[in-house]
Amino acid sequence: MHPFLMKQQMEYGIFIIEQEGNSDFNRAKLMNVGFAESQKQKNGGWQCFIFHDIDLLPLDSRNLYSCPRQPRHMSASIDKLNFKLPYEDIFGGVSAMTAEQFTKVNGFSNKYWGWGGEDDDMFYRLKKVNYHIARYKMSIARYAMLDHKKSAPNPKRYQLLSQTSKTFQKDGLSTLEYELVQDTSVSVATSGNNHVVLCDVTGWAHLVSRSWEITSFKAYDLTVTLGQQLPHDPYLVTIGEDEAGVTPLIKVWDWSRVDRHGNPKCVRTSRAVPSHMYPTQATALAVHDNKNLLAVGFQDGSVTLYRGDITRQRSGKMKTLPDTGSSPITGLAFKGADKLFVVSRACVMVCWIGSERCVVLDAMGASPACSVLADGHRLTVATTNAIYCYTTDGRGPCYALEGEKLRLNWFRSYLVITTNETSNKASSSATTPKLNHLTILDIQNKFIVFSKSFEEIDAVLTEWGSFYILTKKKEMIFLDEKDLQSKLSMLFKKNLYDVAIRTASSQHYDIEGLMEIYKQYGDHLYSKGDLKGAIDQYVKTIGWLETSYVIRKYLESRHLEPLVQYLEVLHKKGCATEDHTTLLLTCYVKIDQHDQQGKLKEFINSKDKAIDFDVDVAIKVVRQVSVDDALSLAGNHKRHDWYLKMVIEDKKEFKQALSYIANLEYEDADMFMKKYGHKLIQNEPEESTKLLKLLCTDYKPRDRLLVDENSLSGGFTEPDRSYPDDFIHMFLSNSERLIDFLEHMISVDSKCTILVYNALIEHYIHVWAKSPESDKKTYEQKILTILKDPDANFDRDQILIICQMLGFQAGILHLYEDIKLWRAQVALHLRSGDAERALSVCRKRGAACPRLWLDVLWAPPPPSCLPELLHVAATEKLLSPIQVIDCLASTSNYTLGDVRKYLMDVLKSEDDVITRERDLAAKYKSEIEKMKAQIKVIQYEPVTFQSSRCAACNKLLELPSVHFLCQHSYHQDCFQMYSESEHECPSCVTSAGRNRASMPPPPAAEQLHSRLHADLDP
Amino acid sequence: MAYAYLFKYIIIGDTGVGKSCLLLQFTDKRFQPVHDLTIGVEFGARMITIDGKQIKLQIWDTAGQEAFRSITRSYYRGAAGALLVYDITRRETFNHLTTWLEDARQHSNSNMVIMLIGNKSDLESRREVKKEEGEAFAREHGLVFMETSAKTAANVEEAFINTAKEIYEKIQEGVFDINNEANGIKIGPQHSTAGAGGAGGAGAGGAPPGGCC
Ligand SMILES: Nc1nc2c(ncn2[C@@H]2O[C@H](COP(=O)(O)OP(=O)(O)OP(=O)(O)O)[C@@H](O)[C@H]2O)c(=O)[nH]1
Ligand SMILES: [Mg+2]
Repeated sequence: MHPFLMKQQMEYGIFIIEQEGNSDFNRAKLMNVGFAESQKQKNGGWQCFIFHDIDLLPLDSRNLYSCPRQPRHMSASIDKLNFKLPYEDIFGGVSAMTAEQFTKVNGFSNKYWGWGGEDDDMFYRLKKVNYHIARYKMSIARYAMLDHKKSAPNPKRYQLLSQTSKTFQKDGLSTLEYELVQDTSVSVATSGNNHVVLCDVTGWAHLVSRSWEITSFKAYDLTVTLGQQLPHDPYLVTIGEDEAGVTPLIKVWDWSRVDRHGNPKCVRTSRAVPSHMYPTQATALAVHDNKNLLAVGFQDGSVTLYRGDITRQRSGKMKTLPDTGSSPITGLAFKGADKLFVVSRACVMVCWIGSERCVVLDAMGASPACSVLADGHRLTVATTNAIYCYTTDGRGPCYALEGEKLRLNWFRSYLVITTNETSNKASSSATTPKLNHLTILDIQNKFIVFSKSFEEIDAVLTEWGSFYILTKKKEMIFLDEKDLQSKLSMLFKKNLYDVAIRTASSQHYDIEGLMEIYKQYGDHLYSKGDLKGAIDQYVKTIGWLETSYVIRKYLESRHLEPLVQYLEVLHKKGCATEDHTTLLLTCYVKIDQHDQQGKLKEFINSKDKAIDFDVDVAIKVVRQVSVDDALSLAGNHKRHDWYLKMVIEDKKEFKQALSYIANLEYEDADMFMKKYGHKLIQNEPEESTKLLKLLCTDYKPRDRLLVDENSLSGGFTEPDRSYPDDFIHMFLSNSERLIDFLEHMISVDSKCTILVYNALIEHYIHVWAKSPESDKKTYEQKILTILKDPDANFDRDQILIICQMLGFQAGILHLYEDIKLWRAQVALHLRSGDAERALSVCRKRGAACPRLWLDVLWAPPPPSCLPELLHVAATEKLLSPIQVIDCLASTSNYTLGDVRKYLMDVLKSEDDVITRERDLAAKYKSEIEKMKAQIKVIQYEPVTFQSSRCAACNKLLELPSVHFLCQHSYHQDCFQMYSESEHECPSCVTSAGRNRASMPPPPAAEQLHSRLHADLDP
Repeated sequence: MAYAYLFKYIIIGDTGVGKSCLLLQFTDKRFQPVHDLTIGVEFGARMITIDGKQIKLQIWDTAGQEAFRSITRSYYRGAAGALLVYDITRRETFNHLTTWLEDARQHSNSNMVIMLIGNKSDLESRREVKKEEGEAFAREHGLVFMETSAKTAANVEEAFINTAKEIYEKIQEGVFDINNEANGIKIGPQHSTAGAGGAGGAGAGGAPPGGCC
């Protein structure tokens, strides 16, 4: 029935009423008794009654066990009756009535002894007060009827029925008389292996499965006093009595098997008290999970230990433990397989099973059921004023909790404490029901998680992951543990954040969840104004919670110190960003402004870097507040760049900057000179130049020993040196310093780059240009020495341009000379009107470059130069006389006298040429005539080949033979032997062919030859 | 961990004087700003070294509230040292010292070393009991005296360790019967054979042997 009713989710109680004795049964009266008895519970709270024959079981769960407005006949369709309603007015079997309906008809009649009639009687009663019968459909109201022996029907039933309508007010609840013979109460409640076991004082044991299927069996004839269900095996160990006054019996039940009656199989029965001892009551039982140890404690203070398989009849040994005192044993618990905690009314002991020795841990005892093994290793004992913990070493901590303890249970990590409610109200008379108080203590977190009063509690059961409380009134109350989330939210509501944190961490709550709790706790403390406390919580969220969330809160409220604390931790944990550093420092500054705590100084001077921060950011921030602080920060952390930047830009202490740089390592010094050199030179030209000179030669940090270890040990490292080139531009217009610098450089290292020389020369020229006449000479000299220096490496073109720009003639000339730009040289001289010097150039270079003369001529030069010029022009034939005349005519300041000699010379030489030409012409004419005559001969006169001998072998010619126009003839064989070409006469070729070897034959000649050959060879 | 001796301590004094905080500071090096009322008796342990010997301190932190007095009293017995704590910012906690002392003398063994501690020395501004008064009280009753702060940890180590030193000296002098566990002293596992030689078979009070065959 339980699973069926639970499925319908009703609150219900089942009352089984039995009739004592052997007389005819009276179902109706028993129903009345049940009604009356039930009304004692819940202050008459039961309102709906199902009067149920015990031989009927419902088959359809839609058949709701509830009370509708009219009385309901439930068992309309019974299997044994072929699921048919026997007659319309039937109201027997199972019927439902409300308390109101039932009392209105004065309950059942008390007069029907034996089978039958009482249900019809009820029908008449109901009809009389105008109720009618309700029923479910036949398909729902289906029941199975169990087999049983039929009792004899009541012969008087019809007679009784006829009276009902008249007498029912005088027969029923109003006249009910009965005597309560026995009520059962639970004597043992134990659980394990997914089952709950309840044993009662009448010797019955009830095995309840998870689905609330109940198996009941008579375990003892008289009563069950102790019992323990093994946690992982289907074994139940009980102690009880089959006969009064005789030694109690230990029985072991294996409920996975059944005996022939269908009850769990009893696998062992043995006397609890050894036969040689005086029988006494068993008061405590402990069974080890390994099924090999069993201990029983007795009223007289003795403890017997059984070793060996407990599930076998007669196996193992039995021993009585020594020194367990004489006061009743109230609790036993195995600690591992070698120790046994023994609790009596007088003391707490631990016994070593192996050596059978007992030691008193505490001279303070406990009541039955008031000791429990918590967590499997600590014994917890409840006394009136506290809960004490014991280990096998002795007493441990205790938790004060007032009240007379009745029961102690352990569930998960909770201690479930049942105490007697001591109502100190004056009205606590017999009428008020006795109350028990249930306290559930989270031992680990020292926190009471549940506290409530109940009616007298008979047992607390922990199985199937939850608690059940069984009250004396046989109510079962189910307590469900909230899931962690809802537990936490409840704790939050009560602002018990620290408990929440402890609970969450003890249950291995995930880290994010924990962080969320810290945050909420922080928020809570913050809202209460405990800003310092809140920050302690927020600090724990670092790495999870957005830092901005916390920071904003504190910034808004302008509470800097907690904020500083938060930020400091943030930095320590390395979670800080630049913004955080900025903020932290700003806070420091603010705090310092407020009350001179010197936080900033402290922070700056902390060399150990307890706080991990971005130094650069820090400097940036501090710089805005106090340059000096920023400087020392930069100094401490060797941020040279920042240091110099501040010294130069903010403090304008250029000397300081220079000396700082001078102490740096070469690389840094070099870098920073490049970076800040410009400014430094501008402001501290001399010092800077000095430093630069050093840098470019052999630099060493100033504070470094002159001879360092490295060089001492013989190692030689090429000194680092910078290129002066990199610094030149920094001097800008400060030519003087630059010259100083560069001169030094050149003097030290002649292999300076073009740039260096260029710059030096350029600046020399600049200085030269600016300096007064008197000084010019020295600079000119200096420049020329460099220009003439063959090692000096400079870009001539560039220097030339500079010279030209600044009019440094000496330089220009020198350079022209160098690059053989004589024309330019001449032009320059001419431009400056110095024709004589121009001429001297011509004289020197005219041979290589005749143009020079002409340049001078075209200038035009002063008349004094003309004779020389014209002479050269004439001799070298630089210009035709006409052009010369033309040229000279362009200027008017020459006289004919200046050119007469020239003209005369010219005309005379012309004349000579003409005569020579004429002679030549005549000579060529006669030669031509001669040639013409020769050709004619060849053309028109026959040619006889007269030679009779071969020109090659000088033997007489024989045919075949080859003839040439040149009068040479050959044997063909000879010709072929000597000839290189078949068209040529070998004799003639030897003389003429040589010429031809060097130059190809003119095409005309070749054609001539080929034609000749064609004519001759037929 | 193996130890040469185990000393049992008890911390007593009015509620809120900082007993639990002293213990927490000593064992965990932490400070707990909220008053987590002790209900009953709590427990802490730490190893220290004295004279090159490892000594385990087992400390019982008791509830100061009057209501719990009957429970805490049962812990006096079996303590070798006691820290009697008052709060220098609350005179009444100082005034109650006599009661505490009587209680302790009555329920503990006579050799128990008692250290008087004026706690919360960090709250100088709210001081109600002068240091000299504490010194005087200690002198008068033959106690060792020290001012501590569980918050800043000032003198906390010293308080616990000096007490241990005192006990250790008493052992050397033979004042304590180290084989009687009721005195709050236990000889470490490696010493037990040597130590037990004098008092062969001390009976029920003796330490349980490590294990049996
Ligand atoms: N400023 C300061 N506060 C302290 C010191 N020691 C303890 N407190 C505070 O005092 C309060 C009480 O401390 P507890 O250690 O819980 O007090 P208790 O003596 O254990 O109190 P009970 O457990 O009730 O006996 C707490 O709020 C602590 O924060 C201290 O040395 N300095
Ligand atoms: Mg405390």
